[in-house]
Amino acid sequence: MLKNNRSLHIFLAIVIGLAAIGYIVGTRDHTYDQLALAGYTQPQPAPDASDDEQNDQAIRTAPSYREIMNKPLGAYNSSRNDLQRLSAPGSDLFAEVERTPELYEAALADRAQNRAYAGAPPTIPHAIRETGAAECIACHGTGMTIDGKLATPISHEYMTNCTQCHVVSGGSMPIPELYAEDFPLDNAFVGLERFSLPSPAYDGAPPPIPHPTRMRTECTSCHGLTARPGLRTTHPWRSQCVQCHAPSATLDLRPDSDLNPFWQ
Amino acid sequence: MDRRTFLKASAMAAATTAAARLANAQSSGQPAALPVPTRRAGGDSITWDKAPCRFCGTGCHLQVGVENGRVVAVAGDPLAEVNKGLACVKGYHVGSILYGRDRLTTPMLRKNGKLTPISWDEAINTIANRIKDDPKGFALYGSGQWTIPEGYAAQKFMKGGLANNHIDPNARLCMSSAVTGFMSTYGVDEPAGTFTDLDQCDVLIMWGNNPAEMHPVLFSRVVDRRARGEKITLIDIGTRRTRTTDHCQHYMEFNPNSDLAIALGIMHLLIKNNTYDKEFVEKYCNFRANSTPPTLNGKSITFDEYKKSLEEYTPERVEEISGVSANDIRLLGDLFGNKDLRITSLWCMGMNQHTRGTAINNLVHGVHLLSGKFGKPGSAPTSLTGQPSACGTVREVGTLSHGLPGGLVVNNEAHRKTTEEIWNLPAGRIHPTPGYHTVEMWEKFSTPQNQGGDINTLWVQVTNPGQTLPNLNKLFYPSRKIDGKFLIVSDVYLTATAKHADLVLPSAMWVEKNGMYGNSERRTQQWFKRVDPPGQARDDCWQTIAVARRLFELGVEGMKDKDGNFIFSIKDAQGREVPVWRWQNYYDVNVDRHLFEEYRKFTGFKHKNLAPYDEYVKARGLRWPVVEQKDGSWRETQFRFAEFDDPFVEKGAGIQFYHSVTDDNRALIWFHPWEPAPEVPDAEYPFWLCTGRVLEHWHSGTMTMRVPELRNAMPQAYIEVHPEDAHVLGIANGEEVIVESRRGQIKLPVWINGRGKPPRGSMFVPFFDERLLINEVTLEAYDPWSKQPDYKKCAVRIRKVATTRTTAPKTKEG
Repeated sequence: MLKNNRSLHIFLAIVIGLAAIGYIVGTRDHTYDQLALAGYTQPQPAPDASDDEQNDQAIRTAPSYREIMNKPLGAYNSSRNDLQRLSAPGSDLFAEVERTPELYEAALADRAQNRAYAGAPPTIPHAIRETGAAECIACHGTGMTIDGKLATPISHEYMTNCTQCHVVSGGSMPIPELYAEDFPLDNAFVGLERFSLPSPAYDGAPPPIPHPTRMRTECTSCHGLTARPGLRTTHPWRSQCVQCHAPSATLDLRPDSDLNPFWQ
Repeated sequence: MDRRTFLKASAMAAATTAAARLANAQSSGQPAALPVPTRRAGGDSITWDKAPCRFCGTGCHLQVGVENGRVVAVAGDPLAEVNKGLACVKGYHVGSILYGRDRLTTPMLRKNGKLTPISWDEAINTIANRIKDDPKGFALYGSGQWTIPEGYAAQKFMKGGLANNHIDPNARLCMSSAVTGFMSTYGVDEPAGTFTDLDQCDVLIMWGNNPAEMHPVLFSRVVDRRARGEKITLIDIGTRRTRTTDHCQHYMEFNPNSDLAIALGIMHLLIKNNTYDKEFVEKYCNFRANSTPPTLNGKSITFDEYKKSLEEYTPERVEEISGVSANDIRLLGDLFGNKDLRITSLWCMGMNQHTRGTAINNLVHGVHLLSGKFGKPGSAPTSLTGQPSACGTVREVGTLSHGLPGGLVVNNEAHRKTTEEIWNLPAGRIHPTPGYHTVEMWEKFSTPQNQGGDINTLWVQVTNPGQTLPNLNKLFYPSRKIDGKFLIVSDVYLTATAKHADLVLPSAMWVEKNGMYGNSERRTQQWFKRVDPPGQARDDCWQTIAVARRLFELGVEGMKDKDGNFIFSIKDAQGREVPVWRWQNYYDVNVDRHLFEEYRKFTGFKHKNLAPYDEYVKARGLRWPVVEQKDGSWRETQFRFAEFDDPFVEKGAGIQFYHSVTDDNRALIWFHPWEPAPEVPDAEYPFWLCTGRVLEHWHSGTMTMRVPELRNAMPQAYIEVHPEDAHVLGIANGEEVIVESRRGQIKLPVWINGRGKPPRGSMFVPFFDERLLINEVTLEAYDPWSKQPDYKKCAVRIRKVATTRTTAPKTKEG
């Protein structure tokens, strides 16, 4: 009886072991064709493969699970798992911050790239998977710089339906627009680029906030350590911004502003 | 050069470069048609004013920033209760819809096959003469995007002026099953609950509904509660996985058309487990089933008969029909059977665009009534609308072929008499027979006169039937080849409809005109004109009044009231008539205000009371019934039929359905059996096809496809295919396929594992793209009561296009 039981155990161990090996082999054995049929896109030349071993391959195939451990994933370089190129926020609170009019203009011009007008929700300059807030928060929760590109921390309180307001410029569809010439996109809307800078009360006074602050509760999003140089605060160790920088009731369209007779 | 001067100078330089880049990018090498102001710093001279968003039935209020006569910025309105300062990506970019460079700016008449610019005078004369020569052969096809005054003017012009009831709106294709559902359950239209329920519910059930994309601001009201730490259960009962599914704890995937079985299964369990709300049912409900011959009022049945009809809908039987597991049906039964939970149901096109639309609406109301999930904050069956004023203009102004303002109907003598009195018309002016509903109207227009096609002139305002009607090959295209059929289209761009028109009229839109909308929660909203329309574009309401006036001048008797005055005679404060039919005088008075005050006289009959126009000027919308208080203020109503909030419920009644079909203050709980769909997949056409929308585009895409941010995010229609179906068919992502039904075919690119994920055997195509018209494929079968077609299910087959594409997919560089 005892002996029988033992051989049953050995038999089961072999069966389970074979099943596991079969499973792993099965996952590795997909050819590109099968993957393509199952919904993956066509293979494509690596967009920029100058500094990794994929240089050798003209065509990138789906990696095996074992390879995933060693190889970067993804369709674009900046998302590669490259720890050297990640700069953590908060690295040097007291480093000197250079602020020049040129940097300021450059920062605003850069911001305007993906906004229809000052105050519009920015469009997303990279591909996303179609769903889920978690992957947005992974980078935009605290913010980071990846491969020289800035992932700004979200400026407003946490909301879960990110794609309600932020859409991908260039789209997520892996298909080029087929009949663009039949319906040309030609729009003459001209958005407000920025609000005029208010004058400080006197030379050296803390400048008032020159933009609406509604839905912009996180000042460090645009002015913190990860921010564009021209907009970065010179004193990031201070965290209570509105102590010195006054928001504008008029810009915030607050009920007490005198812009609109219906507010009264 | 000091710092400020330098900043200004460099700002100007940067702005000029940006503008040049913008202009080049936008004109695609073509010379600019309109002067484009430079994008610049500003804000000092911006004026902000409220306006409801132009798009969906949520009815968000926006603050619209205008500078130098142009919209330059938009912000969510923090005082608006609907959206609490938030908007969605369409709302934030709504300003751009005014500025597509191909705006229509002049009337155009088809001469020798070509649309040729003409004067407004010629355009108005052309329409008036056609109507005068053949008043009965004239029909007006309008929309849930008509403003309330526009719809009211059209309604009065047709039914009061021409004694012609052939007026119907596109909302027939969108929410008429919700209307018949409300009518046959409560005896009066529109939801009892409001969006406030979304802030209070413990469970939110979405029936074939994808609010994460279609009503995102409302959806955020719920999911952001959860992000703040509240416990709320979200259940998606759907036929494909969507963005909404990703937020839900439960996803119950059902076979198309089997939603009725799911509702019946819940009812079955409530009775079997004895967990239904006995007190609520005994005090406030009666039971109904289909009669023979079937009528919208059905026949009365007893509770026992009702109970017996439900017997067969056990969880196991429902699983067999619907594919939803018996356990999930039990889960739903337990939730509705739990006295402590507040449950809100949401639905929109999934339940309405359904050949059993009225029945499934009845059943979902029934589930809520039976379980007593009604009349308490957080518990409500709430139907959403897709258009900004489907409720306000269509349902409340009654611009349907059978309707009169304020919930009155043409086939009721007392209602006609009341209407004729308010309109000061001779008795008997209004025709007692309902006119053609949408599908009939277009069928008659697409049929030669000698074969019974008695609609010869059709005027389309604020909508795009050449894209949105089902089965276009039958309902739309034929008319364009038949002599004597004349299509007039008022629109802002050359749409899929306008392209085929004989006469095109350029219209003003959104904040280019005064307006009022009514959203899904009975909220009436008002806005003022903020900018001028381009070129010779003019308000739709003016167009109607101008044609009416021309007919008056031609001596058409119907354009006069009992005293011989013009039916749209509007007087200024001094009592002098203002010639509003002349464009230069149209804004001498507030025409909206005059029409609305006249319309308001209708709104008390069915307890849909509205406040005076000036109250809406101050508010961010008010939910009717709005009733004057002793102190002269006006109070809106959030929870209808519930004593604690509804001023028309008698003291001590608790809940009172005061428009009850049975005249006893009770609502009706219906039994409708599950039945198979009229067209189901077979060997020849083996796949289900569902159609719908995406977040970025609204309705037929006329506006949103011209907004760079939206167009770039979602450039074209596509077909969603399950990976395994794609495998079997040998189709890869991005390849083009031909989608074919018994009615037509189109070519579409395939998107696998994209935005939505249909199950095997099922496919989905959005309808926003005028280049890829899926309605050449869809079925025109409609619900017998609501006459609303079913765009959500028909049988198709797909095959690969012979030539494979060589273009590599775009790389996504971060």
